[in-house]
Parts: sequence; structure tokens; C-alpha cells
Amino acid sequence: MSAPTIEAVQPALSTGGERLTRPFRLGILTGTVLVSLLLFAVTSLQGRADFLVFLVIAYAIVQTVVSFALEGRRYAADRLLSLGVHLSLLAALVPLVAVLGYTVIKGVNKLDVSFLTHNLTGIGPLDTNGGEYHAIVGTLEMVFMAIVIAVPLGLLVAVYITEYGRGWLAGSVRFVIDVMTGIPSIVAGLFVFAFLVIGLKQGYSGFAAALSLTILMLPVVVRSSEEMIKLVPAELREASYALGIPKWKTIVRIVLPAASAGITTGVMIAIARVTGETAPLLLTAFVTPSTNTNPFQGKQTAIPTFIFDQAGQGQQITYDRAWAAALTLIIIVLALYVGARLLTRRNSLARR
Amino acid sequence: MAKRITAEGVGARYGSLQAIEGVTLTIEPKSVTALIGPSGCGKSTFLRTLNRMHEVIPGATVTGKVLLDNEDLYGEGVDAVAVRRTIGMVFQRPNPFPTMSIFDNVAAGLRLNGVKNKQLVEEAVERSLRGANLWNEVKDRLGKPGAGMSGGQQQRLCIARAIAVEPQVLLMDEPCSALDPISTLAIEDLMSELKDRYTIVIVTHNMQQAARVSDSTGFFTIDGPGQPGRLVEIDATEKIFSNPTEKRTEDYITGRFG
Amino acid sequence: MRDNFHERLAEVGDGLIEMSRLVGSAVSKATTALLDADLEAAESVILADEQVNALYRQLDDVAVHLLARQQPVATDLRAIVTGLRMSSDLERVGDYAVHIAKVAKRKYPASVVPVELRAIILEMGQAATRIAVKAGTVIATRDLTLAAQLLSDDDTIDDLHAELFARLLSENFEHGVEAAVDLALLGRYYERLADHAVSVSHAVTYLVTGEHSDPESYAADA
Repeated sequence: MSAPTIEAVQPALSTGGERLTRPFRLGILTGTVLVSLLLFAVTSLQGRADFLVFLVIAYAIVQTVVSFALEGRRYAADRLLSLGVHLSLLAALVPLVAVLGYTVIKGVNKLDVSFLTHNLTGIGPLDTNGGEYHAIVGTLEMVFMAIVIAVPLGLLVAVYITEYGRGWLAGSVRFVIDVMTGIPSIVAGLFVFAFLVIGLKQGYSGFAAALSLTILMLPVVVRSSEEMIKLVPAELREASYALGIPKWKTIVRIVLPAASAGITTGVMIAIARVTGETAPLLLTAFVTPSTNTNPFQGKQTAIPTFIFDQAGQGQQITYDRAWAAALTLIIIVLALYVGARLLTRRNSLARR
Repeated sequence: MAKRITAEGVGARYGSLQAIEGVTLTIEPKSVTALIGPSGCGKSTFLRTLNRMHEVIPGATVTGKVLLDNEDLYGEGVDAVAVRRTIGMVFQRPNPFPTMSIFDNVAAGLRLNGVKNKQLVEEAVERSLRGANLWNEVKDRLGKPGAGMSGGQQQRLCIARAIAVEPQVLLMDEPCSALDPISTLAIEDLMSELKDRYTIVIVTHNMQQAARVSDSTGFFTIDGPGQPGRLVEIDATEKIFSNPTEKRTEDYITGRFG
Repeated sequence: MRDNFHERLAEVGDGLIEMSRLVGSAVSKATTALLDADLEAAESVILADEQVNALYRQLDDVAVHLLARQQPVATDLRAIVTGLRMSSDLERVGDYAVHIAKVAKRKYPASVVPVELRAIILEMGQAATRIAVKAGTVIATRDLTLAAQLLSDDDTIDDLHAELFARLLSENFEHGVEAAVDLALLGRYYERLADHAVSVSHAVTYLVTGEHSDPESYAADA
């Protein structure tokens, strides 16, 4: 034979031979399971987790070998990769579902009306009554204030960077925002603690906590909004300018609505992140067993600090309270998310 | 309503790049003027100087004069936003506002420019949609999003949106290049109806389209890469397509170019 | 660019040149047949016209296809439109040559042309041949000076035509009515075919300049 020709890369249209059909693969699986069971019974191999790992590896090897023999190299590679992709998906889903499921199972017993409507005033570590009312109030107030401050501010900064900012100023703003993204939450808490709580002698308050949450939210809101605003096609802006609509109106009425769905998602991610923050709250609002509805004065408990506090007391009842509070936290974040989604959907649909 | 446009020595730059230079021409009212030429010849840039859209791009500048009847659009104290209200524009790709309904799209120019009177807006929307030959197709679904329509309908929606603010001049930047042939013919018919009321300037890559729809045709070209685009000649469309004066025009339209 | 189109367009030009060559030779041969009572020449003129007609139809088809598929503009458009007109004119020239040959064939072995009129017919025939050949050259070269010359050749033929008529109508014409009718027709044929050749030169002028020739020159042909 002479040197390889171009025709060599043109495959025969029919490869002939067998295919690893679904029943075939099920057969391989059954076989592998049986052999593995046998091996675990007679050899020193043992343990459920080990069995699973062993099974997966064994199945991958057997399938690849059989496929290679029957179908050729390309099919074998395809099947191996496909198996890997599906297993990865499974591996990613398991912890998600497990966390959610475990929280629901652990938390649902304690989560009742009484738990939601009472605080912990005068409740000892061994008392079974008492609840997280004060923590829910605290979380809602703190997060609400953080949203009120961080979202408009973040949006305006994002608009500045994308629509107005030129040159070094916009560049440095973007850089500072990037740096802020990396600030550990405890540092944000420490800053507010040093500056407001101690420095200005304001003492612990929900507002101080909200400020520390704002510091954490702001960069996320800015960066996600910036990306979303950048995604709005230039043609839309041009169409608006061409109608003689001024720039600020174009941004407010055309660009931001077009980006609203994405911006909402970004804001929601930011909210979800800060709603679960614990460390900065301990430094700025601390913990209290009683209900404090005034966010501007006095200690305030939030759900994360409530969980921290309860879980740290090491009693069965306090563990239950912590789980129930964790479930509440998840529900609140979920509710916020769904609510925001509905809001943007109504916003983006035609109103007439 | 329609006004005459006179360009005198118009040049345009993107930063340090001179895109067009020394364009002098007159665009007659109530007629369709087509601008043709190879890619990068500056015809779209020139179009965008006519309603001061060019300067929207950072670093872009314009020199020379553009007169709307007798008023210089680049004169001192002339507001670019006001100019754009007077001279409407339709773009290459249909770009209805995605968050708005069909009605709101057409009403956008009026509402966002401060027209509050509901009846006035409704009348203007119907008139514009009728003017764009779209009313019968959309009158039962004015509240639906504009993005759900076909490409041709979307482009007519954009034309309706542009004429809702009653401009003097309508600029069209390759308005059919994203459309199928039937939608293209619908837009072309629309142009010949609209020219009774507006001065229309259309940039097109499609020479046959220029030949079909326009009364005058201007040919732009560049001498080479990095050179500014120039107007080679502008004349009656019949003349350009049967017997152009300039050899470069002849070479381009007969496909002997380059 | 558009190489394929321009090649097809060149075919139209080549076809026209071929047609003009054929009809030029037909006119020359028909004159020979007439003056020398040459039956063979007459037959060959009649036969050769088939070729001209075939070319004429072929050019029609090519032109229509190019119009339909290529949307030609400017010079290209004028080349096709004038090409259609020129091929029709040349086809007519060929037809007149056939008419002349047929007259010769009908009278064979006698000669249609009386001795005293041979000179004038010969001159007409030569002028007609010259004008037909020149029309071909004008098509090939697009030479507008030559195109203008055709007009003076046409004037020569018109003068000869008038003179022929005067001779036919004069009292000392003694060959009878039938001969007079034949000769009148022959004169008419030469005069018409020259007009068609002139029309070709007008078409070339329009093709090159994009403008119609002096309208008075059309009036003169009519």
C-alpha cells in the first residue's frame, strides 16, 4: 500500500455488526451487579460505599470493553463519555437533594404555628416551647433594608459603568467592585462593627447588620446587573435614540426592562447569599432571645444567628429548633425568588 | 411634512479613522433616495450623520453641514435628540422593544416624548399601523408582544413606530436585508406609499432593490482599505441603472467591480 | 465577477457579428445572382438564410434568459436590448437578400436587369454590400465614426433608388410593365435593407453612448 489517502477518512456508511442495545446494556449491568455481589461476599471487599464505587468502575470497564469489541472504538468512547456525564449529573444532584430533603425531614416536626409565633424569652435550654418569631422579624427587616440600600445603589453603579462611565474612573470602579466581591463576610461585619457599633458608639442594631449585608450584596448586584445590561442589544438603544428618546429615558424605559429578568436573577442570588450570612450579624446585631421590632436600636436575632445559637447549645430540642429555623430560611429564600420571578414576568409582559 | 436634505461637504470619523469625506448631495422631498455601494464604503455612516445617530458611538465625529430645508442640523444650539425626533430611522434588523406590546411599541415614541393624551396616542397608533400596512394583521392582538411576529411584520412594526412621531424624513438602513423576498416586496410597496408623505433615504446592498424602489440613486465607494468613503455620483435612478456617468458606477452595478 | 454572465453576453455579440458576416455575403451573392443570372448563387443565398434565421432565434433565447436570470443594468442592459434589435434588423437584411435572390431565380435563365440599367443596379448592390459589411464592423468595433459613415452610404443608395425610379418612369423605358415592377421591387429591397443596416448603427451608437442618435436621422430613414 502507498501512503494513506484522503479516502481513508471517509468511513464505510454501514459498520455492520452488533449494537449495544438497551436490553444488552441492562444485561451487562445485571451481570456486573451479580459478580460484584459475589466478590463482596467471598473476598475481603466490604462496605456500601465501596460497593457502589466498585460497581460503577466495573460497569464502565465492562461496557467499554464489550462496546470496543462489538462496535468499535468510536462507539466505545462515546458510551464511556456518556456514562461519565450522567454519573456527574447524579453526583451533583445528590448533595442538593440530600441537603434539601434532610432539612425538610429534620425541620418539619418542630415547624408549627407556635414555633413561628413565639420567641425565646424566658425559655431555658431544656424547655420544649418557644420559637423563632424574633429571628424571622430580624431577618426580614435586615434583608429588606439591605435590599433597599444595595439594589438601587448597585443598579445605578451598573448603569454608570455600562452606559456612562468612560476611561479610568469606570475602570477603577469596576476594579473596586471586583475586589469587594472577594471580601470575606466576617470582614464586612468587622468593618461595620468597628465603624458604626464601636466607632460611632451606635451599639448593636439590625441596621448595622443590614449595612454589613449591603457591603456583601452590592458587588454581586453590580456585576450581575452590569452583565445583564451589556447583553441588551445595541440595536434597542439605537431604536430608542432614533425615536428622539433621551438617553436617561432610554435606559429607564427600554434597557432596564429588557434586562429585568436577568437583573432579578442576579439580585435574587445576592439576596439568597446574604440571607444566610451569620458571621457579620454576630458582630453587628448579636443575638437576643426577645423580639426587637426596631431595627435601629438594640440587639436583634436573625434566623442564621438563631440557628448558630441553638445548634451551639447542644440539646436535642435546640437541634430541632435549629433545623426548623433552617427550613424556614430555605422557604423564605424560595418565596422571595418565586415572588421576584412573578414580578418581572408581569413587568415584561405587555400592559394595556 | 416632507423636507429637503442638503449635505455639504459631510465627513465622518470614528476616532482617528476617516469613514467618509466630502459628501455633498441633495435629497429631494417626497421621493425615495437609495444609497448603494460596496461594503465599508460609508453609505450607512453617511445615513447616520443625517439624523445625528453617528455621534452616539463613542469617539465618532461629524464635519460639514447637513441642512434640513434651511436649518443646519449640526448648527450651534441644535439638539441632537430633537433632530432624531424629526428624522426617523429604521434599522437593518427588526428591533421592536421586547418588553412592550405591539401597541406600546408604536406608542413608545409619543409616550416617552411626553404625549399623555390617551386618545391622541390611540389615534396615532392606528394611523401609523395603517400607514405601515400592518393594521389589519395586528388589530386583534395589539396587546401581544411585538417579538412574536414574523420578521417582515416586525420590520413594518418598526416602520410604524418610526412614523408614529410624524417625522419629516425617514432613514432606512438596509431595512430588508434580514427579510425573505415576499416580506421584502411588502416593505418596498410600503416605501412607495410612504414617499407621498415623507422624504425617504434607504441604504441597500441590493442593487435591484435600489432600482425598484428609488427615484434617485447615489453611489458610494472607497479607493482602498483605510481610505475614506466618497460619493461617486448621484442621479435619477433610471439614469444610474441604464447609463451612469461615472465609469466606477458602471463597473459596480454591472458586477465588474474588483 | 459575474464572469459567467459576461461570457454569455459576449456570445450575443459574437452571434451578431456572425449574423452580419452571413448577411453581408448574402447581399453580395444575391447581387451577383441578379446581374449574372446565376441560379446556383441564388439558391445558395436562399439556403444560407436558414442559418441566419437560426442564429436570430438563438440570440433571442440567450437574451431572454440573460434578462430573466441576471437582471443586467447599464451597458450590459443596453447590450442585450440593442442586441435584440440588431439581430432583428440583420435578419431583415438577410430576408431582403433572399427576396433579391428569388427574383433572380424566378426569371432564370433570363436576366431581370436590362443592359442599360446594369450599372445602376450594380452600384446599388455594391453600396448595399458595403453598408451591410460596415454594419458588421460597427458591431464588432463599436466605432462611432464608422457608424456615422453608414449614413452617407445610405444616402448614396437613396440617391440611386431615386434615379432608378426616374429611369423606370421615363418614356424611353421599353421593357414592359412586368420588368418595371420587378426593378422597382429590387430597388425597394436594396433601399430597405440599407435602412436596416443604418438602424444597426443607431443601435450601436445607443449602446455605446446610452443616448439616442439625432432624431432627425431616424426621420430620414422612415
